Amino acid sequence: MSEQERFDDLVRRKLEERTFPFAEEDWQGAERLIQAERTRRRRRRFWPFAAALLIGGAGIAYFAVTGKERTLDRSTSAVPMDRTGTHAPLTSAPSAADVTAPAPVPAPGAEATAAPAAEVTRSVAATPIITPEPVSTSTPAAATRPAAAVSRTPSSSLAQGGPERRTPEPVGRHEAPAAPTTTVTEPGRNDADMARIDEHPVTDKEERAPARSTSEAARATQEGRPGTTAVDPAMPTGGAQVTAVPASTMPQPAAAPPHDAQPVVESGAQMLGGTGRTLEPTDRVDSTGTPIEEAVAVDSTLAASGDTAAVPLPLVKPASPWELSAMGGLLWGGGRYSGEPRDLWDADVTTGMGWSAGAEVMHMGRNVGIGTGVHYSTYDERLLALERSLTELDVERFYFLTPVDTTVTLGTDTFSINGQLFHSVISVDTTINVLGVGYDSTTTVTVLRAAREQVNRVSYLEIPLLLDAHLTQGRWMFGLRGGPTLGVLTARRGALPDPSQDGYTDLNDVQFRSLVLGYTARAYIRYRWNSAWSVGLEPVLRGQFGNSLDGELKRRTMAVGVLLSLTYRLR
Amino acid sequence: MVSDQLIARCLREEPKAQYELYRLLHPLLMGICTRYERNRQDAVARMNQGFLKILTHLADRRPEVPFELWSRRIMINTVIDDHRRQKQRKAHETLEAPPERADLAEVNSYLGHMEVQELERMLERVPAMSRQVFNLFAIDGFPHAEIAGMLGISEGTSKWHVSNARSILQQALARAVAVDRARTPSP
Repeated sequence: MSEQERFDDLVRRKLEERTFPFAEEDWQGAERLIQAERTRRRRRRFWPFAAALLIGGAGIAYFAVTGKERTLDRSTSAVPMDRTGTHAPLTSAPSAADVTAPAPVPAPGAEATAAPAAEVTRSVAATPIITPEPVSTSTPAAATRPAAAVSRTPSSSLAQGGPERRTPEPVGRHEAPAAPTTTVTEPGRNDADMARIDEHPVTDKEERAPARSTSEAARATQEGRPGTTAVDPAMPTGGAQVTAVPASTMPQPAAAPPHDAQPVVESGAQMLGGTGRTLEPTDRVDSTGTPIEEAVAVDSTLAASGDTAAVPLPLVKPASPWELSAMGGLLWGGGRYSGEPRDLWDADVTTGMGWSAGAEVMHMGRNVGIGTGVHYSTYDERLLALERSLTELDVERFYFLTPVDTTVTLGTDTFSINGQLFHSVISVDTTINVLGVGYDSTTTVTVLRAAREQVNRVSYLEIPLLLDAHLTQGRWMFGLRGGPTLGVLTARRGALPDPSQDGYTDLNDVQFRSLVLGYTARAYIRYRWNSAWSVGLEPVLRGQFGNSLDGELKRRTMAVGVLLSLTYRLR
Repeated sequence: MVSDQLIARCLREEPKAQYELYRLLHPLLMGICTRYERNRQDAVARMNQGFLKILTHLADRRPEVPFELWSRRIMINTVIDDHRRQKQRKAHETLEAPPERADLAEVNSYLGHMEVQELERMLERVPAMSRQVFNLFAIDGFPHAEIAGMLGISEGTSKWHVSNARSILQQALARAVAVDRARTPSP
């Protein structure tokens, strides 16, 4: 062991002799740190949960609100209003089960120009209704047919496509009627009136009249007024070439629609078991025979209001509110760094060009929408770092001899003359070496950090909660879409200067947070080239709300860009 | 000696177990921190940071690595990381030549019986970087190559810092020897 090693060893041993008495206040400091770390971890766990809750809650709220509106639409439109503004009693209702409207079999000589109804499946969940007139089971429910027709007006939502003619359904019957024997018509309105109505294109204002007439027809049916003729209001369509058809020539269903409805109580007055109350003609009963107080019509596709009772709209399924989008484009931006380590970098970080691609699914209303999707975004930044070097100066002392030419006087002898002492000398020219001290200095320049120009890239998979507001103008759609995002770190590439300025830290060694809350906002303009497909140009702003790094160095990501989108509207 | 049971309890984040572990590790961690920090307050703060790291990375520890050794390494890394963050080195640093060496035999002899507090005071006088490198090399036993990697310096610089620290210490010790000799009457 050399003296130097022995010295090191002695120092080590000496230092190991030290004792450090435990102090409670030291532990209190550690406890505070542990507590802070625990809180930080809890907060980190909370954010993804909160984001998920927010997304889920917003979705549920949206569907709850829009769902309620739809239910309200149905319930208000399904019950026809009478002249006094109260709900007219329903005289007939479709079966409780899904009813497939039977294809009409035109009676011989029938001249109805409406096309035969296509197979239309309707969701009907209505209760059977007591018809006021006793109806013979052997004959088709001629008396009840108009009432059925009144209540089975098609939904106003079926506003597209060609006209459809539907035949009235026998209510509560499972066997097909052979032929109508009795027809009922609206009081005070003859075939000519009906034809006039039919020939006249129906407008919103005009829709009220036939609505009333159907209500009246229903009432007439309930009252059992004889001599009325049933006119199926479902037959004519607004603007369609439909002529009023006499009841006797009306097409009848080839077969009774299959349904599980309770049989209609055909007696006008029937005792309710156990209640002692007599069923009134307007009472409806449920499957157990209990009267139902309020008419509830939930036929979504029929959704017939009294207003549109005479205007059966075409049966074409409405366009779906769902749309799918795929998009891709370029982003300019990247990370902005701050914090104490950033001040020591002595390097610039400028914006870079990244890219983004994604897919979204949106539930689009008339002007607003909600949805989510997946975006893959890369945020690029350009790092410009200058070279840093360390200069070491090593000084060493050395000795040297310098030759000096000189004349040396040498004493060769001493002698005395007359008592005086003399010295005999000679001069010798010689060269002597003079010892000198010098210093050798060695300068070593160590490059601590090479200059570097590179692109750093950090990629995130972002899950946004998107809210949309838009306006449609012909084939063009203008809108704004945005919302919070939950970014999942997927990849990073590049390096950052070391705060000590003597190298670079690989971006993979920088402590990134795996989950970051962010935002996305974009405006879009789309052109629809057919009913389903549209293309759009979308300027976008994306970023992160907070710091995406753990530690003293802070990074906030932001980028602007342009996306091209392709959207498909489900049908 | 830290038992596996205590580690398991710490993994379950039991406060009592954490306290026990802190008490057990306190001398070791404090010994490291006081060597690298100038005062006790800073040393305690650094020790607590290191202890938190030990707790949070407890699950990552490989069981075959002795716990004390692992804790020691974490503590040293914490100290070094902190120094790297705080370091504001000038772009062109000029390092002076190490001072003259003193008579080592005398110095070593004196070192054997001197007070440890006196050595601590001498160590405090060594420049921070040199003290750090000396600690890493002479006390903690890291090779120059590793020190260079840890601190982001060249190996040559690391050697220079060790040499510089030694020289400063030895000169201080030589002065102390001279004073000691002056006090002691010669026989």
